[in-house]
Amino acid sequence: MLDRRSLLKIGAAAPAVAVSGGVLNQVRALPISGGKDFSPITGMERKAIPSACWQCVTRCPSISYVEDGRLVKIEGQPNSIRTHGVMCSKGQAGVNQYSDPDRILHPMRRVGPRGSGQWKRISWDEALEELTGRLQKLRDDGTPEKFMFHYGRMKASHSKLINTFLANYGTASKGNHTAICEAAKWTGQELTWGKHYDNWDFDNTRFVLNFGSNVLEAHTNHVPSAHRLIARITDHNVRLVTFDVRLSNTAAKSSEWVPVVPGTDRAVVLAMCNVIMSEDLYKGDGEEFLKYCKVTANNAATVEEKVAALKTHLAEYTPEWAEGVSGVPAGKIAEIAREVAMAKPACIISYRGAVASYHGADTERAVQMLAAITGNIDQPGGRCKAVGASWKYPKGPKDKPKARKLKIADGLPGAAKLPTHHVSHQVLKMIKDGSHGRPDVYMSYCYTAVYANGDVQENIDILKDESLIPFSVNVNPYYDESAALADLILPDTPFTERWGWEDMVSPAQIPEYYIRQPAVKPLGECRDFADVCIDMAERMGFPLGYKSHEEFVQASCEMTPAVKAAGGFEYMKANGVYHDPAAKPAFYSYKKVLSPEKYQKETVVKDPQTGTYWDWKKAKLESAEEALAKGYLKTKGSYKAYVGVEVDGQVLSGFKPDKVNLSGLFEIYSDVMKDADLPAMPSWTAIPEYEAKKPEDLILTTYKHAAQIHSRSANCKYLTEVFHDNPAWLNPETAKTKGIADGDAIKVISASGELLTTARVTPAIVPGAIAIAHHCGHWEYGRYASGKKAPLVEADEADADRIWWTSKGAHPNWIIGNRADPISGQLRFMDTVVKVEKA
Amino acid sequence: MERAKLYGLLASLFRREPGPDLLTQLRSPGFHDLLSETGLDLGDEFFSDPLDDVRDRLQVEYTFLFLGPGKHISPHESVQLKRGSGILWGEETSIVKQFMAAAGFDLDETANEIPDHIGVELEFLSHLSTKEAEAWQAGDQEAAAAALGWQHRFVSNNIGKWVGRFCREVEVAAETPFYAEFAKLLRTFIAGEKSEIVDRLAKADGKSQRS
Repeated sequence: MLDRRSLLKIGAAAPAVAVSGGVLNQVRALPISGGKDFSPITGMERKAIPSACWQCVTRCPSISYVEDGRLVKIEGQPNSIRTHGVMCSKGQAGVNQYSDPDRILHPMRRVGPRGSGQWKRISWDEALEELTGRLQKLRDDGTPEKFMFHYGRMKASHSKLINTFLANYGTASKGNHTAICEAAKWTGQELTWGKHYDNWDFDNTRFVLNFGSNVLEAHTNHVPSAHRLIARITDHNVRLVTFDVRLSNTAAKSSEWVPVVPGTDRAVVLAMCNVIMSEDLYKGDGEEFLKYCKVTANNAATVEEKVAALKTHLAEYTPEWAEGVSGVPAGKIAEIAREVAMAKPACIISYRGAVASYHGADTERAVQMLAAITGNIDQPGGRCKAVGASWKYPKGPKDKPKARKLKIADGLPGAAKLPTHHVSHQVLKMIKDGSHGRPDVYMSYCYTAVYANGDVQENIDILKDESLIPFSVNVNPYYDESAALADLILPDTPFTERWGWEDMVSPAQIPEYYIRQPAVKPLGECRDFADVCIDMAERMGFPLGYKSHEEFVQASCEMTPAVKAAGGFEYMKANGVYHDPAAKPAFYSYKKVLSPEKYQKETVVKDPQTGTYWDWKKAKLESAEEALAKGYLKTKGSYKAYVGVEVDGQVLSGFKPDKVNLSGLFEIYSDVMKDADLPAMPSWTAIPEYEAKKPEDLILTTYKHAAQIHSRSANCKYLTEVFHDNPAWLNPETAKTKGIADGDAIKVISASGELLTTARVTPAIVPGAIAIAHHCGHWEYGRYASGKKAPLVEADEADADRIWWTSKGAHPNWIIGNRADPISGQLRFMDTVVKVEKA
Repeated sequence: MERAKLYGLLASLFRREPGPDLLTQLRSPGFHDLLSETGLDLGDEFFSDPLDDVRDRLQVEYTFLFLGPGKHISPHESVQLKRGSGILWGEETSIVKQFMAAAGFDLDETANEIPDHIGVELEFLSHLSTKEAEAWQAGDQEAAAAALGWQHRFVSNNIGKWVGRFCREVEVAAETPFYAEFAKLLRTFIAGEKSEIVDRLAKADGKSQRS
């Protein structure tokens, strides 16, 4: 029968010569729709400005449309290899960051008591004169470390430029925010394969196994990953299995949702590894990959020895044991384990749901182990080493002062043993503690310490206390909960009015270079903080060598070979994005064989214990003898001197370490963990609070919604209109035991305090848990977030028309402690033990 | 010319915090008497306290009322307009900018002001009524009618639609009499302007038709 399938078979078998030799040459790429927009009223084409988003960390390339000097719309960039032009609701609502009616347009100085809400507009000159006066004094006194800079979102060119300012000023007292995000994941990766960030190659995968990632709603590479995953599911019928406490929208779109007790994903992963090893399902790709792994104390162990070590270590983690811990049926664990081992390739993914809990870093190590023994590391369709743009940029003055720092970024003593991304949520506690010094000037940038961390009341008390923090500066386009407690507010520009170059990870494994351009000039007196840093450096007598962020971006475009070859700054302004059309996706980075001149240098030695080649000069040692005597693992910061690693007699690039001294092998067995008195192999460690938990207690977990960013979007009207209330999810079985019905007012009590909210009784959550979303319950941050209205609104409607919703939800961080994963310092957002009762 | 001057004064008062020169003039005995006659009471402290204290207080109050972290009383048409967009630099702002451009006025780019700020809108009316006054003085009714036409459209379609509500919010929220009283003045003045401009327009049209 002549059907379509038979016809295509003829096509497949057609000789190559028959389909070549035509007369058409492709002279330009296929036209893509998008990239243009028109006014619905005048029909005139709107000005399209290629730019980049800054709503979430994904920072997707975008196009801003400007009509009559007004930013009217933001869309995806159709030429982006990362997004293919897709843009999420959060990105499109970026226009609201520009048009927030409660934006701060002028510098402001506090006049009443701190936190009283009394302010005075001041000029930039007054603001910077006072600030640089204080900073100059600290510098002159030889105590630049008393200027502490605490940032939330600071990436790419912003990060480079602002850090250049801080380095030239001389302070290394910096705080970040990663421990409230996914520090456990990064530490777990740094302990296994070196530099963090795993890209998920959905484009080529055949099966996706998900532990606690809500990738379709929120992710550090959200749309670039999510739209690929959806395409893979719909076009190729790829199965996605999601382990989650909650039926997230990702779980709902999965082939299977497997509910799991919060904080116990690691037990499931270990049991899957047990099944794979005991049933010899590692054979093939997994076995092949074991060649590159360290599985025992002996780096030179044979594959057979490694297999034996894995089998021995995993023997106790049976599916039946895991069922007891996680609530996931043993049969289901074994079934999915077999499926992931058979699918070639499988992409094993994980995120905060699995790692923001006790020993979360070890959960990430366990997931890495699962991907390793199934042969799904850094290969098409698997869990890959990240690829991003490598920008060159002006480095600023050559002679920098030796930076000094207050050691307050890594948490209370003993809080975390390997906080490679610091313990940001305990910075304020450390300031209160005072044992490691306190800053005289505390500056926060794109970061709301009060709202985003746990123990909200404690954060407020510390930030309000002038005896703990004498001078507090907040750089912010908006009046949020932290700005309200500052002494000086410097009005930053929203991303819609800024320059920048960007470098976020490319899910295509081909780097994408892109820039951000202002859609409009800054409103009011707002200034990009990067420009303010350039200004402050000039005022204090150490000019950075460029006059503006724009000039910095321009210079970077001309200095970066790939971008310069494409046409430099002018090309980037016109097109926004660039990737090499001839580039092939980068996989198997660890297999690259090093040329002898790289490791046969005079300054390079081979460490006998690890097989690691390292450059003793870069490790600041005096000689090869000293290096050999001290050893690679025992030399502080030797990872910075890493060159390569020997595998089967060849010197390979291996897994380049970062932050800790890794051998260059993929470390399932970790010397670093062992030396820190932590489990050398990924292991189950009981959660102390669960051990003490009473049967009626519940476990509080948190999550993000697709239409909000963690803490920086509730001022966006379009988003808060969609998501503004977050009743607490309770399983009907759990609710029944407490006599709670859907819609009831409830009280949630933890060691940190009490929270009043309402119950949403739904089978979409595992019994014994309670889930409260982030984003809600603001008490500052403008009218849309806080619900505060101008006077007369009730009487005269006005805003009542626009703010039709009445609840603003509850903020769970009031009752979540700033408790750290003892390995990484990650804030444990997912395993707070609470009591719940009817209010 | 007194209308133009009053618009100008109100524009200055609402555009930003009053400087020492303006405050000195407002505190002069002559102005004090004038205000009393009008029934506006700025409070004794305004006249008796040291100038710097008064200035400081007004700076704080201005910030509290109009610049954000206080009462959310936006001084912008696009935010205040009933059933409007409710956003800064909304489409209403574009319409105001276009209207000003059509009347021959361009916003000083270096000033970084937003065209539908109450201070800018009042300044616009000040310019238009100056043009009108100059036309009357020159006996050019046609020019006076033109200037009045622009005023009429702007008061009817723009400022007149939101300034009343804005002023009432200020009257409720202000903690000292200064802004409450000037808001009352502004509200009363614009309310009167609606008919005043119509009357003047009729007069100008009539005269220009007769001539």
